[in-house]
Amino acid sequence: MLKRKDTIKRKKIGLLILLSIIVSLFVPSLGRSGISFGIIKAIEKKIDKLRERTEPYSNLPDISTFKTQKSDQFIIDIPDMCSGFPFKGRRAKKPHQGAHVHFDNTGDPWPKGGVDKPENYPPIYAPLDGVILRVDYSFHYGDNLDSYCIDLAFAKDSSGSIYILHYSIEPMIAEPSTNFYRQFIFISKEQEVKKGDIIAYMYTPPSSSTASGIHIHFHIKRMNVEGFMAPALFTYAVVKKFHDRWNGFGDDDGDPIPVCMGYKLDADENPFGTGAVDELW
Amino acid sequence: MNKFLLVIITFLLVGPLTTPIVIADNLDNRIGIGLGNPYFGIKYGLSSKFSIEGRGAFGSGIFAGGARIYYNFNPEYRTVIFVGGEGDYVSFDVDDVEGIGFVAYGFIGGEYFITRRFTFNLDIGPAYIFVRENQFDFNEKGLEWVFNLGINYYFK
Repeated sequence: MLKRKDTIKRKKIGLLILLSIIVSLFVPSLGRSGISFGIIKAIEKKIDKLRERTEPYSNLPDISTFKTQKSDQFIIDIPDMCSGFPFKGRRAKKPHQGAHVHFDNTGDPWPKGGVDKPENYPPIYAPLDGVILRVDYSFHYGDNLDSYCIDLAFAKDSSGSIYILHYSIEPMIAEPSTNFYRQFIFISKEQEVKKGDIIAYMYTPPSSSTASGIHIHFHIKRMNVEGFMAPALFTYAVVKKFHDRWNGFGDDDGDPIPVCMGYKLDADENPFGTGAVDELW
Repeated sequence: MNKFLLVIITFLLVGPLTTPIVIADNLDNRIGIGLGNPYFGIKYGLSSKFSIEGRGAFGSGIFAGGARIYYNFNPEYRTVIFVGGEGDYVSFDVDDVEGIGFVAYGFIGGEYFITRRFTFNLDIGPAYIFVRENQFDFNEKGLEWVFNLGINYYFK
């Protein structure tokens, strides 16, 4: 009797093992990945996926490339801006570590044709090839204000540090409804973009005048490193057009600022490592 | 490959069950060392039913270290069938991808006593793996099915 029970017990165990093996080998979801021989092989599969995701960043050009090879594509269509100013470095009388482009929606030029869809607002471009590193669909700041932000990784340096063009898109209002800004963002995290691609649209609230301060703040920063740098990425011709639209904002506490993307920069505000400079384009 | 594994597993686990040769006697209070594909472990029998093991697995630029616990269904048989769980801390630095992670692995398997001291063991099961790389803070996670093979040597 005992021997029979023992045999049944062993058969049950055997059946359990067989069942486990069959499930392991033939369940469709498992068939895709297969069985890894050893835990290290299984971990390697996951690391391979991580490598696939980091690969585009390792192919970015060196930041020094942009010292001479400038982009003829600005971040917006320059005629869309009503005013602006360059990055004002720490050595300026009134520093501001970011360049601005401002918009005026007096008379509601946007949305174009009065049709309220994102494509009818001012487009925002990638001025360079790169990879979208981060997207903030809504960022709360100040006194009940919400912006949306995009980080475009476009270069690296010899140490492997990644350089990012940061866009802070600031309609200067509280987000009208949950996820409202999401419709204005046309890229997603880790997406590769090409120079000239539209990455987002600038939401301009109805009848917002210049005084409301609708703008895009943009600068260069390095990933995981404190500090901002002047976005000196554009050809002189583009910077000149940008300068021509500053409309009275292009001064440093009364001192006129010449054609440039960075003014009175400390050495660490110069992305090209050429030290402190008064003007950088 | 999978069918090949099926044949081996079936042969090693189900075959010996039909031959009740008592050789493993009791796993209680026995210490053993293990080597496998590729791992190094030290195993200890807490009782006849429960064993624990510390394990370190190495690959090129990858380390996974942690502990296992086994429940032995039939510790007195030549083939001891077990189920268990494993938790591992993972660190890696492979081709500029550097980071950390963890593994939680549930398994079923068997330990075949070739002699009283020398055994062959295998297990199979789902492993939940989470890895995060440092530079971009990217992570990957999910289930992978893992098959382990190894040998153990018991000191007493």
